[in-house]
Amino acid sequence: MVTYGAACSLDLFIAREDHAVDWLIWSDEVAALTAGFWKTIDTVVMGRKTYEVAVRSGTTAYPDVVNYLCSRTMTTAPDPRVTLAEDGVELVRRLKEEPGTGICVMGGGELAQSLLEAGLIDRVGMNLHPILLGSGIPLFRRLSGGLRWDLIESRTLKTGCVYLLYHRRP
Amino acid sequence: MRRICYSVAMSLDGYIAGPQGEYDWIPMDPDVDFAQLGSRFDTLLMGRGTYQPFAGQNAAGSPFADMAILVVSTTLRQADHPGVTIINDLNTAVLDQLRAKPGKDIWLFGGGALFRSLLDLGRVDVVEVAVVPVLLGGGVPFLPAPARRTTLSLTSNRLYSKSGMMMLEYTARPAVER
Repeated sequence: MVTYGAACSLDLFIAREDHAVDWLIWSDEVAALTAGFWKTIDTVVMGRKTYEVAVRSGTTAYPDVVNYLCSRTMTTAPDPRVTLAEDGVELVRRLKEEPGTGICVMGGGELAQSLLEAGLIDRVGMNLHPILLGSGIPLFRRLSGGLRWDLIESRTLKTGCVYLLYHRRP
Repeated sequence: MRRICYSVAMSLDGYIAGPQGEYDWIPMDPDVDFAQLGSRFDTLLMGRGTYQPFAGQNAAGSPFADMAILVVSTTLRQADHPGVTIINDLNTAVLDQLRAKPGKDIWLFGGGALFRSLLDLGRVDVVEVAVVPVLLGGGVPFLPAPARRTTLSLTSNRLYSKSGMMMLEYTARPAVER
């Protein structure tokens, strides 16, 4: 099961243009949701830009999961716990066939876009924040066609954030 | 004071119409009370791009039948469009005059660019979004970038389980006067 998602503004940005996420609202409820989700995955897949943002905030590898970093340009993994992969689509296709629990696709943009196009994302999760950012890094990029989803979970948090989880319709 | 409400259906990826301007991706959920729209709003405020395909849809019997139509456009001339009111110069005075008149709330019908203009002027009171469980991949944006950053306050939410639509209503915090 491959899940892509993030906390985002109502106009669907995951960060400001300078990658700032100072507008995010953390709460016990969010911590509980995140912890609950984290128990269902054993693998994290991210693109280079997302990884660079994580490194700047002190994370060079996520603990207790297998870390994959998709990049066509990097040749050495910056942390021994991180495995480099050149082609994210090929990687996720292969991982889905192997035994394991859930796979989390992190970050916005190109990696998620190519996985969505390839039909490899099973679930999309969003924590919609009560804010219009006006510009920034979008959660979703352009796609060549439409994709339909079923809303399987929705929660309104005390902070005014709304958590929504969707599963792809076959 | 009447409120200006941007009330739209939005795809998961933030579009209010598809790449060809289509709306067929919006489900007709039997639990949504369209007739009730007429009791909340008596005025439609829209941009030229929304008005042109809209023309004629406010015939008798439609939810828009008794609504006044205001079209914001720098190019359309009032003399050519007798059935509607053309606003050639959008500014806070015009909008405040509109809100001060007695009446029901004003439905900011679209498009996203007009929403952006009104946000920039600090004259959007309510943002109501029906999140539709579809990724369109392209189309008319809910709020085209770059737009003014605006903090919102969630006032209500409702799940329409038959269609999977999530209706979210927010008030926009008052803008700081420039």
